[in-house]
Amino acid sequence: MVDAAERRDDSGWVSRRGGATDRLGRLRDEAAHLVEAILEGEGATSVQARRAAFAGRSDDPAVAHYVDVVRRHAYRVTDEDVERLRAEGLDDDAIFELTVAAALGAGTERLDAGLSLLGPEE
Amino acid sequence: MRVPSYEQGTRRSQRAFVRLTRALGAELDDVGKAAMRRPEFFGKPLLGFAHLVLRGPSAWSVGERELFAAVVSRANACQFCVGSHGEIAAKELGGDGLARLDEGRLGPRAAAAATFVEVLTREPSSLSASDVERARAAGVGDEALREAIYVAFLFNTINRVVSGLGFEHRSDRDRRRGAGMLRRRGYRLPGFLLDRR
Repeated sequence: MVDAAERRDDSGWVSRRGGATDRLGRLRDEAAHLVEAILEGEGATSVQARRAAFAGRSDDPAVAHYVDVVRRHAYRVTDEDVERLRAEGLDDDAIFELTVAAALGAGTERLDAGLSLLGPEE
Repeated sequence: MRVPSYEQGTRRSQRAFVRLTRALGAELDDVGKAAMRRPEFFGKPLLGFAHLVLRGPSAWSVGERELFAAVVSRANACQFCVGSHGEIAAKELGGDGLARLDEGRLGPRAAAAATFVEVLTREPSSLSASDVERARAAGVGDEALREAIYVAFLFNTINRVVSGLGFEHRSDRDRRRGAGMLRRRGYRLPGFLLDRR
């Protein structure tokens, strides 16, 4: 089973989106592909809701609180925080998507902060 | 976990795979289950990126990259990720990598990059050109520093998913065996688990 996976992988299911062949170019392309899948892919939540979560915002106070905690210090999320989302009508898929989008927002802030200190790639 | 329907696969083949990994004594962990549950939205792009960052050709060894992952995860208080990636780093580097780092027993180059990604994790707005200069002075080239930043990007994202959704290892044995699988096999899952059907 695992050998089959390796063959599949060698056949290239890993995205080559962007077409870069150098290592840093591939990292950049794959990171962009990840962001695109999460913010614009098919999901239970709207693209708008995911973009807002990515930026740490929501019109819904329970969601706004949750995405803020996830972005700033996710280890402080409690069962009650997630129960409040359910009370607003969010199901597992919606909760998952908003969590991933908020988390990705915090990750992307750090990616940008780090890379911006370095000059253009040689 | 806080999204209980993600405990199981949706398809028969996915549920069978989870049972098989359980029977083999290294049950697919919660990140893997989420990847399987949401292959297009999350699984394929996330695991593809993780495998490239942590296992592809690099200025850093696998052990060094796993150590950076553990450093970021510790700064984010993500015990689940420290447990997996700290374990892999320890096996690769020989001895507890985080302890060696804390005690100054790691090479200056890896130590400097680890410091950089820790500050980037804890307080990204505080980073400045002087942090970059310190890393360069320790022998970290710009390409190597960029690669470490991508590790930080990945784990600042996944730590929050794990903590927010309450992902856990079922047992310490699962944690260790799961880390062993990730060390040997990397971050790819069998394609049939992630194919759109």
